[in-house]
Amino acid sequence: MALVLILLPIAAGCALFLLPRGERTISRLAGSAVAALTFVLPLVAQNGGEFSVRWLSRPFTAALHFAWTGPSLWLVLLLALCTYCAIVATNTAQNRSMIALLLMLEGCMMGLFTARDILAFALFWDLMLIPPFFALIEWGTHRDTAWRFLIYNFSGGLTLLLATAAFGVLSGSTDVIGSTHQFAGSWAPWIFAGFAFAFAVKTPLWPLHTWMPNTYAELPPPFVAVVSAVQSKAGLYGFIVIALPFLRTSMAEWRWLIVALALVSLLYGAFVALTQTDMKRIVAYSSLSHLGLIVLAIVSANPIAIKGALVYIVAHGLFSAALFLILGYYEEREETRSVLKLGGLGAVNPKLAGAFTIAALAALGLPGLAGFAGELVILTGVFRAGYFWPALIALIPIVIASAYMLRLLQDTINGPQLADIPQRRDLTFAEALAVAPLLAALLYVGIYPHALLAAVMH
Amino acid sequence: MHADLLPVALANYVALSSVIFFIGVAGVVLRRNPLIMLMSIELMWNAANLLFLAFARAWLNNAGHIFAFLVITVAAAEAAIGLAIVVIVFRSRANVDVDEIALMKG
Amino acid sequence: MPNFITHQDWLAITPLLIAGGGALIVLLVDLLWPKHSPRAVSLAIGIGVLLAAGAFAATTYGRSYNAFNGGFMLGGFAVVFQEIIVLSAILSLSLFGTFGRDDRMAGITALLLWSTTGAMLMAGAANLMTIFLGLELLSLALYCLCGVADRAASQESALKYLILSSTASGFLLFGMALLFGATGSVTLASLMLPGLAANPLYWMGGGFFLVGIAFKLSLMPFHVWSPDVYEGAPLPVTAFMSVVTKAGTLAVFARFAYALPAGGKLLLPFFVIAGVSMIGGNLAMLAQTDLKRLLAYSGVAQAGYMVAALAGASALGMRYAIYYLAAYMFMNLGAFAIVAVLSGEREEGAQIAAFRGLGQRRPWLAAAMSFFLLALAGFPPTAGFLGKILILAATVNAGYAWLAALLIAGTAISLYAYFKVLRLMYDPHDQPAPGPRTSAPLAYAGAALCAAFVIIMTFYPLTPSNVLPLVK
Repeated sequence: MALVLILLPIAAGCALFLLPRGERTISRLAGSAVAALTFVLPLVAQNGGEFSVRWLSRPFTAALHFAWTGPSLWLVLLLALCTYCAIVATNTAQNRSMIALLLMLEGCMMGLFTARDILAFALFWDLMLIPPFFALIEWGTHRDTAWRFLIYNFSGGLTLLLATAAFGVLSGSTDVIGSTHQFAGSWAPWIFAGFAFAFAVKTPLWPLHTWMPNTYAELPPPFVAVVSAVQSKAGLYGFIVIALPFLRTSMAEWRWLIVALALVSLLYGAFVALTQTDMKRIVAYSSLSHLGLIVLAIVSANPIAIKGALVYIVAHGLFSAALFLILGYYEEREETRSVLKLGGLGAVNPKLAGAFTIAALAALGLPGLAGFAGELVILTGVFRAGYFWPALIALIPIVIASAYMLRLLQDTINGPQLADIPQRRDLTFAEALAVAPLLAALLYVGIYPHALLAAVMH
Repeated sequence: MHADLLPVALANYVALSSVIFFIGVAGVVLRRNPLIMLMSIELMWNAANLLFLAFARAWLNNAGHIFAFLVITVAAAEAAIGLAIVVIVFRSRANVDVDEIALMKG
Repeated sequence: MPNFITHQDWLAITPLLIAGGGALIVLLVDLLWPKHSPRAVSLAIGIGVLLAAGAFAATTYGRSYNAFNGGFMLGGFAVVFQEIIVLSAILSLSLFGTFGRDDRMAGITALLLWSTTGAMLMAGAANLMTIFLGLELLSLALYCLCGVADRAASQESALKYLILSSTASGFLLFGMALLFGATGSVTLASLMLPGLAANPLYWMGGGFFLVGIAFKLSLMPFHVWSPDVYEGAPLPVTAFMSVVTKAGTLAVFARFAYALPAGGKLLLPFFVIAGVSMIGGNLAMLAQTDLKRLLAYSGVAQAGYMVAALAGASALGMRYAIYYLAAYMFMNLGAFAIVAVLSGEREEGAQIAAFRGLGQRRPWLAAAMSFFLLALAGFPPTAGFLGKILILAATVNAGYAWLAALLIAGTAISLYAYFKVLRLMYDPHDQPAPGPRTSAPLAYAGAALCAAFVIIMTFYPLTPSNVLPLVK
């Protein structure tokens, strides 16, 4: 079953390339149908869709072993949902290529999140870089963005590979995700460092984030919705399923460094977001800040904080996907991403403004929406783990988040309507169809986070 | 090692063939004419031959002699092909100085 | 130990006899045919002969036999290397569908078959004489093959290859003579004798021998010949020698390395050179504008990876070196096949600029090329990815973690060189470069075969067991 989840989107993506280049409708319908199917499948299938075949028996045992259980399930659902929304929202002349790449990206990340074997995890870790890379080459504006994206993330992939090889050789098997046994030995801290570097690049953590703002700004909106909402969670997921269960003691040795970097990311992302005028960059830097908080939660290794981290991973996925899609709508209408050139749009297109407001409020942590639940549980957990000062410092960016998110709303929706902006249409039905599931999920998780927490408990 | 051939004498052979070998190496490195370079390569190979014969005598093992014959045969083939290639290159450009043969730079 | 040659001995070298004798058949047919035999006939006979040789060699898998008093070892890895060599000869020969003059095709096929015979001999060679014989048979035919195209660059490359390679053979031969002096025997097994470490002849001989090997494997800093020769030689010949010389030489090196007393200090500098190649080869790739040169430097680095797998002389390392060699064969020959499809007789496709806008012009070719380049860079889901992780595991296991670290660094560097080609193919801001519309069904088939194997090998990583080089 899990194999279907991986291969179906990839095969569908390949099949779409057989359609003529300018095709728009069939690819969108077929793409969204496949994505919807991948959302439904994990909900109805039993036993976490376990699939396993032996892959290597020497020098360490490895298996092509996939299943969705525990945290995987939530990431799989988040991924399927975001991909569905992104495909529905895709509306360009190159629909076919974009949707095909989105489906391939989904398939690769399905493999990553369902992998029960670290080697399979590493395989999909590298593989998932390729669709965004080609998207950047095709639709990016600067030639170096694609290169920067690839080299940063591939370097991470290489240290991951080395760490996986060393882990496999020393522990005898990589088919271990989902179990817990502490891995000790003089090599352990270095193996952890290899994993952590890969995860930190992907998340990203300051100072390894420099690929991120350009990548997010230049990817087309449907793509950036999936990449920021789900792909950036790969690193956090890696911390949770690999670093925590196997290398907790090594993590403790590096904890001072990771806590420091997470705090710097938190503060740096928030302050830089305040200074940006490009809407996508504001959200990109806010991501840096929010994900820093999740890393802080994970390294505190407190069970409550980790639960909070999982809730916040889902919440951040939902609101950042929604934000990037909505910003895409604005960009398409106004042909600019600069907040300086916009204003008073709320009066013109109230429905779009309403959706934007909900997503932005979730991002700044308004109670009742998903973001708040995650932040609260994380801060409680981090505080309980004895991190008084980090918890206190982490409060600062949460306050700043209100500032930059409200400024984003203020500058676009409210304020005087700038004279040279022509009248645009409001949210269309298809666009609403793309954003509505995300906003509904934000509300659901915000009001009833217990559903998520209960599932994670297993 | 057989007692007939004193280690001192054997050392002389090693020294002599080493000298010949490095004369060959120097020829390949310093001279620019492919014919001279091919001759220098022959020197290197024959230095090895000398060594094979000396050791064959010292160990009373015929394998060294056979090896020397093998090398001589292969060297003849090598020279035939080498000269043919030099001729082809010479025909197409009317000089055979390797410095001038520089369409490609390593 | 019987001193006469038995029926068994001849059976052991039958694949070689088939390949070498097949070359004579090709020439004979050409001679008897009115004027010259058509291209298709020579190619068909050549491929048929190679298939027969490969099939016969396959029947000897798992059999262990010491033919010609240790001159030729059946068993261990010999068969696997032979199959790799035969397969790459077939793939390279199929690229000749569009290259070379028709009237020379019989000669070209014959030379390629002899060259293959030499490499197959190296795969099983277990004494210094057969090593030398195999190496020279391989090289002599290759010198001629390099010069078969009617271009000045091709003839130059033949001359360069001849001089530099013969010099390296000189080093190898001198090393062999010294090793013979140290052990009193031409068999590699005699290197296992105790007490050799005290003999200066052994150290000198081993050193010269390894210099020669490093040259043939094109490891840095002994690689200077390879970019020039690769660039000048006709494309199918470049494809052939990029894999076959490496395969033959790697077999010889493995036999030598595994014969030395465990942890031979002699080999340490060699592994350092392998490390230098991984970094240097990948760095040098960055500056190239010709795809054949780029693949030459890529080959320098990849040879470094394969040698690294042998560090520590473990049984697993040998298997992974073979696995990576097979993977490299498919990735590399696949890329060459794409270049061949894009090239006419003048080899326009070998210029990196010829790939400009290929994504728009011929999307499937571009996709295939991207696939092979990403495989060479070590991206999943390709055998390049799994091969790298297996080599990393082997080196870490053998206590050569520094080689693993260099491998990682080299791979990161290499990405940029492959990336340049990728970007050129897909950059929407560029105008597509014009290119010939060739039809090369054999090359297409070869590329498809390579792509299929690159993927299949990832998920079914069959590394043959029982590949330890036997040197008795």
